[in-house]
Amino acid sequence: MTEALLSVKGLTKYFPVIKGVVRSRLVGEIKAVDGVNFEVMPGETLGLVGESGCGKTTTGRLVLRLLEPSGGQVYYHDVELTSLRQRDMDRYRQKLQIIFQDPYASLNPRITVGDAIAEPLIAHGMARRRDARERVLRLLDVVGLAPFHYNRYPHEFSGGQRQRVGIARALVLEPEFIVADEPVSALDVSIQAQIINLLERIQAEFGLTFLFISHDLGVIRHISTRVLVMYLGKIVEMAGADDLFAHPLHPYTQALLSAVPSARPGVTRARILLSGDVPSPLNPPAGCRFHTRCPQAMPQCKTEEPIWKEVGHGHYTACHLY
Amino acid sequence: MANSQGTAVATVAVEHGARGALRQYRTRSMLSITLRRLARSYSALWGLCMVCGLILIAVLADVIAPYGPAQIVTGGGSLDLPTWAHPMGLDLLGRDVFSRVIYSSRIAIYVGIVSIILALLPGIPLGIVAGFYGGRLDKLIMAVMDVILAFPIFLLAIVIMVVLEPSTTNVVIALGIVRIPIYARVVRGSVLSVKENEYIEAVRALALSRWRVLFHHVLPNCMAPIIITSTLSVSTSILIESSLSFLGLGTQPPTPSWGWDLKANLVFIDTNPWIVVFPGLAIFLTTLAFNMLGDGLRDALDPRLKR
Amino acid sequence: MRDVLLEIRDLHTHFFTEDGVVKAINGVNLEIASGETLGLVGESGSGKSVTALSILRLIQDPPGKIVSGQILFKGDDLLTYPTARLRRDIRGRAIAMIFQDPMVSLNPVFTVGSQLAEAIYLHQFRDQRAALQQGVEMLREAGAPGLEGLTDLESEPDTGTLWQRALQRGIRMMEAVGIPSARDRVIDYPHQFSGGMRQRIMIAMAISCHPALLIADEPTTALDVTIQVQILEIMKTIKRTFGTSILLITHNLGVIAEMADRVAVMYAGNIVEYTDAPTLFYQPKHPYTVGLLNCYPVVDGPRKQLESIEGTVPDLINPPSGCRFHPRCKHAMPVCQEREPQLQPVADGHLVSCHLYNAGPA
Repeated sequence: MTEALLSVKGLTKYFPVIKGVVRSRLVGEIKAVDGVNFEVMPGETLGLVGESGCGKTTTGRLVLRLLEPSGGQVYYHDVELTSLRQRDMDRYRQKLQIIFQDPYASLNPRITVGDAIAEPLIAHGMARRRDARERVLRLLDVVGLAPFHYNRYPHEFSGGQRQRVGIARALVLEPEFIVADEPVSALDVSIQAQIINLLERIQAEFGLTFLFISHDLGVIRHISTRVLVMYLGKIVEMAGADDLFAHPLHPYTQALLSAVPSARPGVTRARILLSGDVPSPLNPPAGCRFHTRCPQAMPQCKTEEPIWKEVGHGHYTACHLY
Repeated sequence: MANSQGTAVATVAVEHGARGALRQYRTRSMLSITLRRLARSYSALWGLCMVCGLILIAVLADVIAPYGPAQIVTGGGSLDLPTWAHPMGLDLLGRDVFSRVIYSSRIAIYVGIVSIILALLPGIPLGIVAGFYGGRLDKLIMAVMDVILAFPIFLLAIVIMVVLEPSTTNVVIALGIVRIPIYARVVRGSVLSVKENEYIEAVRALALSRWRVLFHHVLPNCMAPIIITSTLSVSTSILIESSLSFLGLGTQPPTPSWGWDLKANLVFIDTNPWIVVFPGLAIFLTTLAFNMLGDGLRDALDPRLKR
Repeated sequence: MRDVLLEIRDLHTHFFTEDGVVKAINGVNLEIASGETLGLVGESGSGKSVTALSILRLIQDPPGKIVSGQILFKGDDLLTYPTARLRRDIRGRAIAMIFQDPMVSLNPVFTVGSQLAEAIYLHQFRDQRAALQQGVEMLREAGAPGLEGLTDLESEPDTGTLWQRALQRGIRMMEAVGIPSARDRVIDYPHQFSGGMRQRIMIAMAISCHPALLIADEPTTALDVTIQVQILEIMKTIKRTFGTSILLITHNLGVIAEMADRVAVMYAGNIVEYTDAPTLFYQPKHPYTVGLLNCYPVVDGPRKQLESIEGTVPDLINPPSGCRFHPRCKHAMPVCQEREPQLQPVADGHLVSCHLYNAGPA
């Protein structure tokens, strides 16, 4: 039984909503992530999919403690990351890296990309200046950029190239685990494909484990080994990628899959239209959070929260239908 | 890419292919882009020239001015109209106005620049601390800054000059103190917005120390407002110094100052209007120069135009 | 015989920037028939948004300028219209446009109702009676469910000022696009609505004057996929009910497959392939189209290796010589570097701009 690389238990993040200027008071909490449990196995790509506001980006940040959790624990191998002090946590950060969504915003515009990638090496004393430069050049090659790009500034690159720089920077400290937060969402389709192929290549070459966050089901399906589906701060379904897309169990997953336009004109999918909008995370619905929009809602769904259980082999969901 | 199509298309257009594409290319650092943009604006270039000219005059005053500032011209009269020998005429005591105007530029530059430095040194760290750490410290610092800011600059300067004795040095101190909150505010605002950028989060993920993040990443991106504020503040400083000297609360004689000359010679305006015109013109041109430069810098450093 | 509503002939739009002249659109020829949905596909830098803006002459000048070409709308060249006429008759009236980001397309300081009413007031009540009449007629013919609310405009008693009536019409449009409790929400501000709702409001504004042509520039790109479905459904209903032609600009091939009758693929300012939707997907000819279709990770069907197109979008100031796609093309031949290919038919109604299919020198 392989041991999980990263495991998350009861992870929660509530954002306080404060009103009032002179005497501020807490009027409510945005329950962005509300009790999330999962494990990431070494070498796999765990896809995390959901629509905007579901909490997937927040989850990615929480796992690396770039945001402090309100509750729950994150374990890396056997170490409880959530209990460490910042200084000790920094030591583990080397192994846990992140690739950001926005290639335009995630690079400091005043620093050349070469220096940006070399900086963590030098700051952590992992290499001296000359060696750092060598390593950076090698990384640039790995991600498909040329040596002369070392001295260029971010604004001189295209979106796809900047994303490559972001990937090189994430690799420079030789991590084991990378959170990829919508790394291709801001890119053109043809560039998306390049970057996805690049990510697959480096995963094989460096033996990396990914938590791949995206709202694009096609991308998730292509790259993930297993997939988690999130809705309004909770995980509603988890399964192997092929299994999930072939046999979605949870009504939300079914609706999500049916909503993706098929790239085949004339072939219309049976569309499951969800009524209404996503409820506010300030006041999530009682019972099953999805019941307000669920086409198969039963009376039980309004009052009781469904239990997470294994329905198929390695296929889990939380729904009263099962 | 839904904003003005011109910008969006231009962005894509000037990007170059991935490796393999051999193109002639000049590295464009922020500095070179800024300088290029600065060079495009006529007013900014004028401003820059005038400022450089002013500094040169101040530095080379000894060489340029035919007479000393307090030197009474032998054989001259008083309140003489401009002649070739004395292009700006003579004042009441027979001193060459031209030389006095030139020497006064030293005071102007001194006051302008030193007061800014005096304001920067405490102002920037205060702004950084307030912006970066936030919370109660931020509220406390800003409260103090607000108190100082509430006073009209000029009034506060007068009060300070009355309390301390009037002198150039005290003017500089007064102006410096009064400016601190402006810098603190500007820097704080800048830090707050830069802090939110994703690249700051990115370097945090790389476990870089807070110091490094602050000085290497946050601060350089805050420089633009600091530079612009400074340039524009210089002109305000000079203006206030001249006003204080005009009221007799600034630079004291025999040190030459445009404001002082303006006041001292005002009564003789019927006899010889020129001795009032030239110091006034000097103040005007200097203020204009720094303003134009400041405006030009503001446009050149405008982040909206950044690619 | 197709009834051609809009025809673009040999359009060239350039941007004069400090780094040089960006030849954003390089000779584009397009046609949209009445009641047809034309999909315009391309990635960033392809010029698709610039094309849309050119039609309505919304290109910022400086730095952009339409340097040559004709845009024939119902036979008249829009490029010769004085701005006043353009504003009165075309923009928002005969041709309406909806944009990508609903967050910034609505003015945040005005209520939604007043923005809707403004659009209706400015365009419709000039010619009040005729417009109402026409709208009601169209609806009667179409007999569309959900849009029934509009039919009782005729019988509606005069409730005061023209503005009031425009506001009421606006409420009805909101109901028509499916905004719940429209009457209550009409006084709300844009930030109180979600992205999907805002986009619906934009659509309501756009169709309130029954345009003949609706230009939709990436209308669903900023939205979640479940909301996207709803928006696309609305657009389909509008098309069915009013017979509006739609110019749908997107980079999402799935949306195109679902919505478009005909498709034009743009690359670096040129149209490289132009045909009807099924042909494009099942028999693509241009290497770029083929590459693009292979880049798409699909949700159904077997998982396949994701092919990508090497290289990046070219520099439009110094575009590659000859065919602009040749540096990235797997099938590039020597002629591709020398001469620009022309858009020529390879089959009935299927045009391709590629030397692989071009029939010899022009």
